[in-house]
Formats: sequence, structure tokens, C-alpha cells
Amino acid sequence: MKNLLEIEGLTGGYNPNRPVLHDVSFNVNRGEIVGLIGLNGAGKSTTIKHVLGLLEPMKGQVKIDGKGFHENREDYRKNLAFIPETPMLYDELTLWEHMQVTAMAYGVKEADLDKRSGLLLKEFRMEKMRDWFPSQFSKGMRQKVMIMCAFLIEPPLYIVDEPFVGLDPIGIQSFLEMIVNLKEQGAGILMSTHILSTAERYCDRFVILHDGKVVLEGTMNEMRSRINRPDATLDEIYILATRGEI
Amino acid sequence: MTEENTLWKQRASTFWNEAVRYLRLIGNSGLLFAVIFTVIFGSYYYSKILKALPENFPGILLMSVVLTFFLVKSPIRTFLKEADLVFLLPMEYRMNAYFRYSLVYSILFQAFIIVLLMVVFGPLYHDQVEGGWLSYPVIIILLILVKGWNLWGKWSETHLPDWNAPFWYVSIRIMASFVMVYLLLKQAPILYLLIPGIGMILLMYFYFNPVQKNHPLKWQQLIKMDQEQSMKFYRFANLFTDVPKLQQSVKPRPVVSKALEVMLRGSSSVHEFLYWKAFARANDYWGIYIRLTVVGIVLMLVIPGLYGILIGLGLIVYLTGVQLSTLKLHYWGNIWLRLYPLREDTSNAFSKVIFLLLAIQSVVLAITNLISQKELVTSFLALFIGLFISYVYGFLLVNNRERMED
Repeated sequence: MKNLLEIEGLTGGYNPNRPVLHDVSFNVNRGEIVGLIGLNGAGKSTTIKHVLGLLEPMKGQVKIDGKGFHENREDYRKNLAFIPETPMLYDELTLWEHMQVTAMAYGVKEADLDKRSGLLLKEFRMEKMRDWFPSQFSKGMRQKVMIMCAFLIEPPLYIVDEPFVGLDPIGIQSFLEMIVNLKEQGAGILMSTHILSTAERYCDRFVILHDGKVVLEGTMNEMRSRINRPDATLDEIYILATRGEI
Repeated sequence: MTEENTLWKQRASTFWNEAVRYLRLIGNSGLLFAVIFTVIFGSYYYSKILKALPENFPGILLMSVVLTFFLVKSPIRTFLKEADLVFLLPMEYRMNAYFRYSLVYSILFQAFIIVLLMVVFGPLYHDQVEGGWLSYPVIIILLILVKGWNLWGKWSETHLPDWNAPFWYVSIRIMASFVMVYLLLKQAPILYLLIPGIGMILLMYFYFNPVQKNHPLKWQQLIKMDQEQSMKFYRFANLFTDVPKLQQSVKPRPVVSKALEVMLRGSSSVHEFLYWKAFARANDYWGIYIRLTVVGIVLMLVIPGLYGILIGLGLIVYLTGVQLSTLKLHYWGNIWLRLYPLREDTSNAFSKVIFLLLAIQSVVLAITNLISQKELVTSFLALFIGLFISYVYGFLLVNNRERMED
């Protein structure tokens, strides 16, 4: 079977004279969580924008389920859900209407919408806020709206950008449990984060970006043996990697 | 000293550069034409009303009240920004020149408004205040002096802490300004004018100036006052184009929303869904639509004759279209609409929404006309004109709207 998400020799960014990413390659398979790790400005968000099809590669390609963005945009986008770093909500829609419009856009059937939204609202303790507007939400609640909308679609691939900021501990726990659940059902998850201790526990593999290049990649054990530090933590590996000592 | 001057000039020119760009957009929109149209109509009826005024109409009192309102309301344009709380606060003791510029600017700008007001009052003034020792231009100059006094008072009030309610200060300004304006318009003898005049000077020295000395500047108040003025301008500009800086307000409007929900049941267009929701809740689109429709209903009830009806209805439908067209830009730059797996035509969805809104309005106005005049042919023609404009505006003209790039 092909890889779910395949990034191959990707060079890209905003300005053709100054690419942000240089020859980036990695995969996300079905049934795994891949952590995308890097300092501010390392190229995580740019990578995510390329995967979403918001930026065009200058070189190389991004494929989901073996197909590039330009082969069929609708199919490509149907295959992924995105949870942004800063929640982006429609000011004039209630929580429920956010779920409604998401279901419409991704062709989720009404019966599925009812069932899934009920479970999600309960899991994230947002049942009472069903008819609230974004102006009434705290930062964490806004993040929950983003998460619930993404989970509503149930696509094969999830792109998650820094999901933990602003979430309360119970929200983080619910999010992680659901992510693990989805993974066990065969979904692939690409998650960028700075919370390394959580990433170390939940991600199956890691891609460490530095200055727009992949400096280290693999499972914890693979990375440890690459740098000959059999009991290094992710924090230590990450700091070594960003100092350019690998 | 010089750096504060350049800072002020820089701030003012940044604002005006932006304002001029908006004003140009407003000038290009068809609405200006309608405004001129209304002014011509308005002045025609103005002179008619003047002739019909009864002998004992309290014109001077009316003018005094309106003028007092504009004289007392004296916001100071400081062009301060939120971040100044951090960066300029330490320089407060060196900011005198900066604030002097602000005061002079505010006096000039608001003097212009007073002159404008007096021009509008011109016919009424000449009707009511004829022959006296003070001529029309002299009165305008004296009113500008009162404006300056009020701004100086307002500047003092902004020094007051919240708990020291400026209510009394404002009340004193209202009383003094009103007495002065009323006596001026009454052409009172100079001795009478001297009483409030000297009173105002004494207030300045023994009331306003000590406040300025004894209390430090209230930066947050100044910033808030400046923001309110910017927002006023942006709200005005937002009637013609999308203003990114305007903080959008959302109203739930449960009844309208419920009605829309029923209407949208079974629809599968994401864009239409979003446009309808934005129309109902965001930015007062709903309010604009209802207000213009009510104006249209009144027109349909009072205008006699076929041509008046057709022009009136056409104008209302067209104006409604112009006012609602900024809705199209509401989702400009929204990331989700770029990420959804959709093969939808945004423009077409928007055209459908606008057409439907204008068509509903046309039907309402035509029915109003039918009920009030009972002329089937007139109402039918009006309906036809309305639907025609709805179609042409909704599907053709609406796509010409520009967006202000930041």
C-alpha cells in the first residue's frame, strides 16, 4: 500500500529566491502519529501549508494517497482535516453552525453529523455552548471548536498544528485519547508541537526540522542510535539537533 | 522638541493617507450620486418648509440647541495608539508640543463642522435672525471661539480621574455654551454678552487650568477617545467597502436566524449558507436592509404619480444593493473557504443571495403601493422595474466592487 502522506524532495516557501524549505522528504503512514518538531521559524508551518495545498512546491511533490493536489483538488482536500495553531472561527456562526457548515463542506451526512457531533460535544464538555458565538468563547474553547470540526470529518489524514496551547488539562487528555483512537482505526496524523514530553509519549515517529531541512527522522530508538545516545530524551535530541551537533 | 512634532505629523498623515484612499473609493461608488440627488431634493423641500413655518416657530431655540450639542461635544484627535501606553508613557513630560498640535488640529477640524452647520442653518438663520448689530460671519467667528473654549475644557476633563466624574464639568460647559449661543443669535446687546463671556474666561483660569496642573494625563482615556473617532470614520467607510480594521460586531438575531434555517433546509451550498448567516448577523447588514425597506414603504405611501413611484422604488432597490454589496467581501481571505473540498462558484452564490434579497424587497414595495393606491398597472410596472434592477444589480453590477488592499 502507498504511504498516506508522501513528501518528496520538497523545496518551497513564499519567495522563489529565498525558499524556506530545502529538499524536505518524509512520510506519514496509516495508523501512525508523526511528530513534526522544530524551533520557531524552522519551517513547520510552511511544511503544513504545502501539505494543505495553500503553497505551491518549487521543487518536489506532496501526495496524499498517491495523488498530488493538482490532480484532483476536491479529492485531495476531502482526505484531510486541519487543526490550526490559532483558532480561526466564523464570528457570525454558533458552535453548532460551525459543525453544520463543516459537514456541508465535506459532505458528511446529516445522520452522521448528529451522531458524531453529539459525542464530540459531550467529550469536550461543550454541550451547553452549542448555540454560543465565538465572541463568548475563551481561547481554549475556540481551540476545541477547531478540534471538533476536524474530528467531525473523519478523514484518513489529520494535520494538527500545535494543538495543546490554551487547552485545559482535561481537553488535552480528551484530544490525545481521540487521536490515539483514530490512529488505531487507521488514520494518519501529522502533529507539529513544542510540548516535547507529550510528543515523546504519543508520537510513533518524529521529523526534526532545522533551518528548513530535515536533520533527524525516525522512532525514538532510531534517533537515539543515530546519535549514539541510547537513553537521550526527545528534549535532549531536539536541543542537540538544533545546535547543529548532529 | 522637534521629534514630538514630527511624530504627530507622521501619525496625522498616516491617518489621512488611509482616509483619502477610502474617500476615493467612496467617491467612485454610485452612492455619491444618490447623496447629491438627495441634497437637491432636500434643499427644495427645506425652502418650502421655511415658507410654511408659523410666526412663533422657535427657530433660534432650535438652532441654539443643535449648535450647543456640537460645541460641547469636543473630542480631541490625538492619534495615539494602544502601544503608546508602553512606548510614549515615559516621555509624557516632553509631549506638550505633541498635544498642542492635537488641540490645534481638533479646533480647525471642528470649526469646519461649525461653519458647515451654519451654512445648513443659513436659510433658517436669515429667516429668523434679521438685522442686528452682529453680522452672520461675525457670529460664526464667535461660535468658533466658543468651540475653542469647549475644547480647552474637554482637554482639562480628560485629566480627571474616573472617580472625579466629569459630569459637572460637562454640565457647566453645556450651560455656558447654550447661554452664549442663544444670546448671540438673539443679537443681545454687548453688555449681556459680556456676562457669559467673562464667566467663561474666569472658568478657564480658575477651573480648567488648575485641573490640568493638578492631575496627570489619562492615557487610556485619550486613546479610547481617539479610537472612537477612527471607528466612526471606518464605520462610515464600511458602508461602501470592506474595512479590515473595523471590529465587527455580531448580533444573534434568533428570529431571523430561525427563519433562515427553515429557508436553507435542504440547501447544499456552503457559500450561500455563509452569506445568509453573515447577512442576518454581521455588520448590521440586516439593519441596513430593514431601514431602507421601511424608507421605501414610506415613499410608496406618500409619492403620487407613476414616475415618482418607479423612480422611488428603483432608487431604493439600487441603494439597498449598493449597501449590501460589501457583504461579498465578508469572507475574503478566510482560510476555511480555501481548504474546503468544494467546486462552487462564490460569485454566483453571492449573486443569488443579493438577487433574492432585492427581489423580496421589490415585491414588498410593490404590494405596499398596490394597497395604498390600488392601481394595478402602476404596481405591476413598479414590480417589473424592481425585479429588473434586482437582476441587473445582483448578477452583473455587484461583481464590480473593489476591495481596499492593506
